[in-house]
Amino acid sequence: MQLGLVASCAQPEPVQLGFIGELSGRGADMGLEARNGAVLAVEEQNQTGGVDGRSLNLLIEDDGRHPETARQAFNRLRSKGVVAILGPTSSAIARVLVPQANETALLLMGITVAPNELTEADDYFFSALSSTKIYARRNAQYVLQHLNARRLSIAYDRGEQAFTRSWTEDFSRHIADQGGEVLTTVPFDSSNATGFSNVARQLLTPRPDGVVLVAKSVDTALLAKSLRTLNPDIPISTTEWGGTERLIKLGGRYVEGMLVAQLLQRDSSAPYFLAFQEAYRERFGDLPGFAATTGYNATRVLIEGLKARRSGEHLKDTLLRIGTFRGLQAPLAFDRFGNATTKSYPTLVRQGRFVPLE
Amino acid sequence: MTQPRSLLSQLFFQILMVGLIPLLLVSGVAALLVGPALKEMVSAQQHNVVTAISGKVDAYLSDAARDLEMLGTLIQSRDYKADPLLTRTLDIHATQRSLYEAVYLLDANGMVAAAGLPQARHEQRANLVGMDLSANNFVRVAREYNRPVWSDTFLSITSGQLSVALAIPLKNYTLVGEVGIETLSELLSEIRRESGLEVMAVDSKGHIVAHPDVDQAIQKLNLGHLEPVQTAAEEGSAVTADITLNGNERLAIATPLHSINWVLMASQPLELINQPLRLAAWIMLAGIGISMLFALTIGAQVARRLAWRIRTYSQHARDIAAGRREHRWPVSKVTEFRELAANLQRMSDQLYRHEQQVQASERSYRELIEDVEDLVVRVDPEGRFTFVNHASRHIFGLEPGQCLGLSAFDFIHPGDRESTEQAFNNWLHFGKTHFSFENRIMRRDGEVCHVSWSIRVHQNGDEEVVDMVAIGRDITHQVKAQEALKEREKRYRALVQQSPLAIIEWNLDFEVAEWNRAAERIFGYGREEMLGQSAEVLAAPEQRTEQKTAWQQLLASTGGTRQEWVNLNQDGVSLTCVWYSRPLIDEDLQVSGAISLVEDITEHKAVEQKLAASEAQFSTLFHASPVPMTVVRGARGESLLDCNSAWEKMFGADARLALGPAENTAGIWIGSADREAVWQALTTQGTLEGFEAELQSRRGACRCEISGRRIEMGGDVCYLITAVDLSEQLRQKAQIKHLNATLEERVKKRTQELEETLARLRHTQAELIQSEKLAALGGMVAGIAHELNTPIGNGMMAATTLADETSRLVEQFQAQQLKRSTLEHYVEDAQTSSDILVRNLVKASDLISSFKQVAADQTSQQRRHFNLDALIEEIITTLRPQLKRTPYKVVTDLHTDLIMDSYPGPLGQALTNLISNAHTHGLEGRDQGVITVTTRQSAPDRVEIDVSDDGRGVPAEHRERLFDPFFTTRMGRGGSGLGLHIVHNLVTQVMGGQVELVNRPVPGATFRLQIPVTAPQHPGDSDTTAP
Repeated sequence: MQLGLVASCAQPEPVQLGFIGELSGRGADMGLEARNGAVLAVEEQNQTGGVDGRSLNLLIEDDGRHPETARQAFNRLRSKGVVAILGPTSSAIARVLVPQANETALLLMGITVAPNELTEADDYFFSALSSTKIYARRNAQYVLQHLNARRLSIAYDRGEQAFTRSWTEDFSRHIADQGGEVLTTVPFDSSNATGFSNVARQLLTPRPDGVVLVAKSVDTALLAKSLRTLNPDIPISTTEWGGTERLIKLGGRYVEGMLVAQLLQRDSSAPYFLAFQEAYRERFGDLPGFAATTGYNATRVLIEGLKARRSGEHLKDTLLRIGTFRGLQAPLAFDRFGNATTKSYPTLVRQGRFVPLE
Repeated sequence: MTQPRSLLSQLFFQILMVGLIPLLLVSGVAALLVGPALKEMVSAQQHNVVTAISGKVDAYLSDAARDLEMLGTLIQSRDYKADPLLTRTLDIHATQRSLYEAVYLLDANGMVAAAGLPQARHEQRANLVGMDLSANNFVRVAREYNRPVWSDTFLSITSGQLSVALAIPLKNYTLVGEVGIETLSELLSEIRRESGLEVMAVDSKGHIVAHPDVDQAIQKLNLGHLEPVQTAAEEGSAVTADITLNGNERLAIATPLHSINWVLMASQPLELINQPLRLAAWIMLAGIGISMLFALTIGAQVARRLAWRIRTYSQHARDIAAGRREHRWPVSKVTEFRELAANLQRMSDQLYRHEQQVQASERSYRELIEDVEDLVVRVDPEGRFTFVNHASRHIFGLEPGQCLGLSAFDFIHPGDRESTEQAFNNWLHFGKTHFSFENRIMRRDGEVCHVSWSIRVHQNGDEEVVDMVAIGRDITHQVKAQEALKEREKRYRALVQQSPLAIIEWNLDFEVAEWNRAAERIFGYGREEMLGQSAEVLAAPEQRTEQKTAWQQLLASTGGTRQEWVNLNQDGVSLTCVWYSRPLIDEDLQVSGAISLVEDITEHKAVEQKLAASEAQFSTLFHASPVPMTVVRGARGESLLDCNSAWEKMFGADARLALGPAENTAGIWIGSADREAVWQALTTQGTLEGFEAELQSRRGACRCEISGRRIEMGGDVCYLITAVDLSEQLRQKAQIKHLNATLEERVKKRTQELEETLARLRHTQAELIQSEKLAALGGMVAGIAHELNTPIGNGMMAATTLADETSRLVEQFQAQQLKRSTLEHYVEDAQTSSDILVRNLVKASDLISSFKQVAADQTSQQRRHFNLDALIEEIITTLRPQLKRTPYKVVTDLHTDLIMDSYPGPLGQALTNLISNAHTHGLEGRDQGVITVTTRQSAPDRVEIDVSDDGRGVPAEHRERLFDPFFTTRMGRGGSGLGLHIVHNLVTQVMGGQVELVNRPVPGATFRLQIPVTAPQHPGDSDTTAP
């Protein structure tokens, strides 16, 4: 009957799950991918009946990389009764939100962010990635091994200091330990107004064997252009952070031969990953990058935690109890501080593709 | 059957239905028709809006495309290569026409050759010029197909806004214009404010590119999975469908754009569309409520008036039935009610006339009944008299008038009351309306009267009893006569039935007419079974003809007969019976049948036969006896009554002469003195046992043993005499005597052989004991070695470390680089190392000394003074390494603190054996177990040592042989069977004590050693030494 006078539904309340990420602005490509990964994981879970018969509802918030916006988003999600929040996707925002998460004992599952100082504390911040330190060390090895460069210049994004500064320091220490040398480090602002040619010139002044860029994809592309314009053969390396699809679209020939550490094995033939890749393309029209994969993994971890949670148990304790989760490409093992141990893979850009080296 | 309902409620219900049903039908139709129509209307409205917007968007984008194409034509017409004017031209386009955020000119390689930017963003130019955009698909496609191509949406690197770009291929260049599309979102936002419609634009990949909330557009949410978006993009036409967006059900319409590969989708919550429907539903509900209210007020009033009128007519009808003739009919204007009143009046008159006729008929009927002899009564359903005729005086002892109103059942004799009531209930239950019976009536003066009743029950249409009419006749005289007759017959029947002899009455055909209980008992046939059966049934087949003849003769005779016949009972067993029979003569002196009295004498006959058989058997026994036997009569056995075949065989065929019947004949006697002695004994004492005498047998003189008894047979004194030949017995005695004489010699020889075997066994045993000891020692050495490994290994490690540290110190000292902190560090390390060294060496030394003690003791059998408890602790310490690998524990409970003068070695060996015995036998295969060693001083000069385990214990069948040498339950699995034997030897022979297995109520086994504090002296004991 269409009158709908007594249309009260007997369906149980959905489980509310929050997402905070950088969905607008210069670096939004990573946040959007991470969001897409989370959306896909939630939709898939709901198709198989949700968690304990309750469907999942993903509440998405954009932090726009503004601390205040992020804080408000956090409070909004909390007032809607979310069981945990996925995100954020940048270190600067993580620094703002982690104290809030600890105060309210609300689990924060960082997606593409793992600054050192947050990953070594027993708090309510989890991360689906290993800490910056570990990636910095691996990048140092890749640079020494594959770029054949020992004397290096480094440019890093001043706006993401929480991540880029400590990364640069850890990286430099490892290079020095291995007998290399960091000649100069040049901070820059991620802005349209920045003169990237100036930055490039500063980097090349001490005549390095190679340049390392700790920047998001758009800035990496612009810097690569400026560097290669001045010195077409200079070897360049960039971090996992800069290695998104947008790097190739904006960088074109300037990023050819660039060493890019990747958190994702793009040519993986793991069936679980292939199925995910296909579902992702079907749903979003693109191939998933590392942020999408990590977003998906992080969401799966929360879903598994919710499924296994005992009554009265905090979700954080559930995740620590389970410890190891199936990831799309490799298992995610969380340490006692809630950091996953994940792998990274060195790639070279060849003919507009990331080609694995190992 | 349905529950009857009052007219009022029935009328009320019907009126209510008439009001409600049309309303409900209208509601249903409305719900079915109005909903879809409404939805269609909304859909049409959406379509209009979407078409309008798509026109606007198309115009906007075509405008932008046209503008860029014009710029392209301009650039192509001049050769702008490296012309500063080119950049300015591009800048003008990016600034003046607010359509473009930026304009790029790409060279043949897809690299930015020039970039036009609004005034405010000129500083970005340096970053942009030289960028390689060839990796972007839309640029490549535009060049390859030489046509303008729109890109997917992206975040502009110049403005940070959501943008799309158009690539137009020129001769050597590609012109790219970046168009901000946030204005589109603003447009959609306005539309939502005005119409409530939510319209979104979705690009070819399904990403939202424009949304009433600008944020949502920037976030590139993907709606590609929504069905109308997919279908619209594929089919190129507008599609309407229900969708779920953010958990809301919405009605959506999607339509593709012409200028770009996008889809516009407008949607509205279903909730909003359904609102008018809900309003209609509320109106319907209100209608239903009102119609119910009308039914409750007006309907109820109408129904009540109608019901009142019907009740009035019903009251008059009741009056007519009650016989009232005067009626005041209510005045009514309704024709039907008037006719009803007239008809009821006519019915009343007719009823009155009928009543008069019935009363006359009843009177004449009553007179008839009063004249009848029999009692005539009528009772109501409760059993009370409503009419009684004059016969009540005779039968009830009351006047008819006195009976009225009394209960008919009160007159029934108390003995018949219950059965009569039951019979009545039964008849009525089965619907009988006519029945007869007899019972007793108790008159008021106490006399009992037998009455035969005939009853007629009257029922109404519903089969309920209205009244009953009964006619009763006094039959007391007949009943009493019958009772007397029955009594007599009963007595005669008892006489016949209880007779101890079978009594059978026959008819003229000799068929059974009567058959009493004795006959049943004898022949086994029941009375009912035999009545009418022929006499032949009882006759044995061989006598059947004979008995038939006898029966025929019996009928002709006047007196009776006595015959002994063989008969068959029911089981076919033959019986011997005596039959006393005679014909029955009736009052007319005619033979009407016959009677037989029968006695079963089968048993009597059988006893007689048994006696005869027993006699024959006895005679057979006598004759078959192997002992020569004879029976004689007379004071000196003058006449021989009988003798058996053994006697004849021994003393000759003419047995009569055997005992010498005459004085002068010797008979069998060789010496006459013997004969005299035998007769003397028999005649005076009546018995003779084993008298030996020489008798003359057929084989010659032989020595015989004579026995005799005086017996009485048939009043005569007789003697039973036996004579047994002793010759064979004498021969055997001689042979045994010879055997006894040679026995001693044979025993001596056997003993010698056994002694040799024993010596060999002792030797083997000693060897085995030795090897067992060695095996135990070997096990212990392995254990000790294992145990020593740890402390010595630790010591070794500490020593090596110390040596290394020292040499490093020396090096630094020699190089004069020794720092104070290094020295302090060394001293600390050296202390730690030496501590470890000392501790481990002490441990090793302890182990070695206790092992030495035990090993020496066990192999030397040295006698010395020692502390018992300390010794036991030592022994257990040496055993621990072996036991450590097992899950079992050894605990001690030592209470003596006593200095013993004994053999510590053997004691240790004994305890070691007992503990390892407990662990291999008592606890084997268990997950855990405790072996307990306790000591106690049981007497001033004795100690008691218990070794117990809580294992499976010793089976009862093994207890006896436990300490025997070579006794083992583990044969073939490493058990030599000497362990406990060694314990026994050591305890008893060396220490002078005892060992036993103690019975305890708890599970497990306990071996108890009782040892003197001072052991007995043995040869070769060395001087005792203090420990």
